[in-house]
Amino acid sequence: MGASLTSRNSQSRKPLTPVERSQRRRLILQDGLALLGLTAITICIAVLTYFFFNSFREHRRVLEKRWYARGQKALASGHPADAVQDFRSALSLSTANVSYEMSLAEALAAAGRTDEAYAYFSTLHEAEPGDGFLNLQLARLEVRRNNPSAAIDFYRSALNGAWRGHGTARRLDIRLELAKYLLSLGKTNEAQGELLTAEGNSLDNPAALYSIAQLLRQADDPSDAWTAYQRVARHPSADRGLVLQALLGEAEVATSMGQYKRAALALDRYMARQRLHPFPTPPEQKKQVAAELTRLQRMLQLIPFYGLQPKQRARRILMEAAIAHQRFLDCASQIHLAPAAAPASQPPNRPASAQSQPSPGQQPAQPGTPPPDPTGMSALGLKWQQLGSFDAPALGGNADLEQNLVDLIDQTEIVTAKVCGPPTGDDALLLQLAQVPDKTE
Amino acid sequence: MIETKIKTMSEDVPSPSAALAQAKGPSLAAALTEADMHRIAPTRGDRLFLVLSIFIGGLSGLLVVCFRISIDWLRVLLLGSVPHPGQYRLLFAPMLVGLLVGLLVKFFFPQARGSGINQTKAALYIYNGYISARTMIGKFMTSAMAIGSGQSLGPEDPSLQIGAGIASLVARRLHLTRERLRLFAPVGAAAGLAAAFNAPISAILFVIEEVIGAWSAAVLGSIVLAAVSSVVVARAFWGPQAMFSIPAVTLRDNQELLAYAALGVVGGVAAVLFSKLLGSLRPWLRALPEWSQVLQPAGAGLLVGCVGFLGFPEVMGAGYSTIDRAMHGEYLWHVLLALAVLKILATTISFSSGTPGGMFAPTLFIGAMLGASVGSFEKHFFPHLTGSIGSYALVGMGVLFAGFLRVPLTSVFMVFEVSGNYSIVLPVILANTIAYLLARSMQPVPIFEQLTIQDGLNLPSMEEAREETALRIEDALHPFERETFSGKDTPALISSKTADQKTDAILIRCSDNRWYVLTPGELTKIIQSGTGVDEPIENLLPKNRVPYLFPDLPLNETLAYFQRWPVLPIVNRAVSGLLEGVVSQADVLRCYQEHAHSS
Repeated sequence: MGASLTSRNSQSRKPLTPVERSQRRRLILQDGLALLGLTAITICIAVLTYFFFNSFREHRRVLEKRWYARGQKALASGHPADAVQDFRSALSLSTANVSYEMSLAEALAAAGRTDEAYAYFSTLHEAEPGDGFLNLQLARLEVRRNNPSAAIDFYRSALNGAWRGHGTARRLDIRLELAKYLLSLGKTNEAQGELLTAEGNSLDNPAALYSIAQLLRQADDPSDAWTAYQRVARHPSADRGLVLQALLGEAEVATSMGQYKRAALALDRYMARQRLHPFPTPPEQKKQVAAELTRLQRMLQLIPFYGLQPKQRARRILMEAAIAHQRFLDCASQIHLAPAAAPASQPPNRPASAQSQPSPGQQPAQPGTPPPDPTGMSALGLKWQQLGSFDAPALGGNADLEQNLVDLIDQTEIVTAKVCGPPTGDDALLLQLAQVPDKTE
Repeated sequence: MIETKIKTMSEDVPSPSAALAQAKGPSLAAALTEADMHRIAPTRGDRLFLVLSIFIGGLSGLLVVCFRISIDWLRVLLLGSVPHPGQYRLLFAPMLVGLLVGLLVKFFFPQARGSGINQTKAALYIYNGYISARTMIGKFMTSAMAIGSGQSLGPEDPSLQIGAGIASLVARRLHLTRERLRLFAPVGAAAGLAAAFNAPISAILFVIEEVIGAWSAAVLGSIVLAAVSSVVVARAFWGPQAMFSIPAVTLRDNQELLAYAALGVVGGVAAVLFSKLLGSLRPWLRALPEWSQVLQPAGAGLLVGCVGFLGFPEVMGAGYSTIDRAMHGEYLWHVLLALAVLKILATTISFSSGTPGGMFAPTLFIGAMLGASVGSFEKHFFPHLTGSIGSYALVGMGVLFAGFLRVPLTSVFMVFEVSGNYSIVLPVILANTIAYLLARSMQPVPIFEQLTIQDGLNLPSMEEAREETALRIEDALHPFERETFSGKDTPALISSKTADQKTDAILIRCSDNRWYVLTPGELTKIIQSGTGVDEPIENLLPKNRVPYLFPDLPLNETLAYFQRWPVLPIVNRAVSGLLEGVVSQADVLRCYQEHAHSS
């Protein structure tokens, strides 16, 4: 071995003979040509591969688009199960396509395959935890899975997440969706917070404001609901139908808060707008609004506002007292209350000829035995008896007497409504006032 | 039976000498002897080897792209763009194509049978790197048809053989030496696998771990060049993105490693089951009459088609899109488990029937399904665990790769490369190691070795070679119990001190701290010459000295020196010339014999 190497080395040290040099040149030429040939073959195969590859890629692209379009059509036409198959097919032809993945997950969710959809969205979410859409979808799935705390967390992440275009509008929608969900859970305080934030973000969006107002009413926040309705009603870009709806809402909320003037004002504006620019509304609605307005106007005539002159206020209290007393007498006769329990005295401002006349069919009570008073009517009669007689000037100067009388009126309407059924006319108005005494303007 | 098998395998393959003779042609390179070539162009071989590696890489990349596209085209044509359960073509297409593949393999391309890895190893170790063009074309066609028609096999192993085939073809055309020819097969194999996986490091490691079995600087450079150029070509078509994409894995709590360890155990057991099933069914089917083997791919196609028809079309073909979907958590854990079990059965049937196609993709599929299943299960019952289903699926792929194919290092890098995600390093290493050790203990013979034995071949087992304990000099070393002398001592002194000893070797430590082993005959000659009897002996000794040998060196390194030296002094690495002991030829032989006896 060593010897052969030595001889080889000594051979290589010798200069090449002319024949060897020629062989060497031929060898270099042959190798060069071989490599050139190899290059040409490589280029040919590369060109063929390029066309082969592109023809298939084009075919795949056509197929994947076809499947995706089919999936979208199926989803839009309410066939999410078919859409799932189609989106899966599209996705198998283009595995890294995020929009296909999202569509598939959406279809899975729509098909009621909550667990699969959840798994799919979760994986996508892990890749992009800040994506608003993914967080929203996960929130909806958590709602379905009856997992409120996770759902609320995902809703909030969706609110803070990134949105590709229309971010403000989408966030507003999500906030309203979250508020509705919170209301459904009975978390009114949290819902109010979300709604007020939403209101602040949508001052130039009357439709959203109207929705917020409606939700605020559900969230037990009539005051903010009223403000929101008012904003809609006064919004320059709000359409007429929405304004009318907002005015009705404003009136309803104001009524519920005992703010009858505001309610009447809103309805008045409603009627005026309808007169000036008639808007197609059902005739029943118009009638109802007119009736409600009349009712409110009558109520405004009855209410003894503190801002009135003392005499005027006293007159209104006496008017209410006369109505309430009559209601008491009618109710007492209806239930055959004993005469002893019935008021003997005349109501404060009532003419003497009109007092203590038993109603037809009224039975006298047995003397000597204390009548049972499960309804509270006897006590009420006693109070009316003890009230004594006075006129408006006397009442106007006596704040305690005024308050006692107002309390008695309220009590009478409440007790008689319980004993004799719901009242009508002015009594109904007085009962309404009695039920929200503190809220009344 | 085995003889028949060998005959079948050899039909298309010439004997080693015939392969060499076939390589000779009319060109000058073929006409020149090796010595002439060395004299005329001493560096030609080395340079061509490197340049051709790049060409082979490029060509392999292009062929693999064509191969993959052919599979996809055939799949669309035969099974439709997206197979759905209940389509009758799922039953007929694999069966009819299976029949055609069976006929082609039987009558035209007998070497195309199987995965391609053992055939490449056979080319390297038996046929001097010879893979015929016919085999390569046959592999391309039949594998594409089989996988495209839905047989549960993968394209990676055939890509490996196609790469090796093109490398063999090119090397033969340029009339390289036998040694170079032999080395080109693994170079091409690495290129083919790298392009198929879009993973150069894994391909290089796999070829080293499973095909060559050892690191060699000469071949490593070429393998790297070929793998890189093939991946560059493949990426020009498919883009640079990793095969699968999952989010980065953050291991917030090290306790989660327990979950991955559980996955390692599950994967190890599944790998053994898969391996045992394959190892049992394949020889049984091959033992059936000759005529039935033409029909076996058709039968396998029908069975796999039934699985697809009845509700699991995901099992058909390589299944990469299904792996991707599993990684995205699209399936529930019990569906994933069902897919893993069905894939094991389908792949066993397809592969055992002799249908050409690979095991890599099915292994990844089964691993991914098992991993995702374990991940979904753990997420469902232990929701605090932070790993995504994708990360479990990815680790699962590596786990089965390590347990089934028994390539632990490749399995780790494969996971990194196919996902482009290095954040998963700890779970992958842990789970893969568990699966590998478990599979090794439960099934000592790896699957490729089982297949080799079934084919009647005797190829080297890489795992065995890796695990083999190398004997070292220290194993045969024993202390030198007689007196040693200094180079300053005189021959007369040495003679007087050794006169009454019966020794065959006298150890002299020279002044440069090197040792000389003096035989009694040499000493007698020096004394009989009469000159310098009172001189230091080192002045009278020949110039050569015993080479430096240390206790930790391989034992076989001593063998070359026994012709000259009767015993070899072994010295300390730290203290120059310090004698640790000696070894004789008899010691070395005894050590080898004892080792062979014990193993």
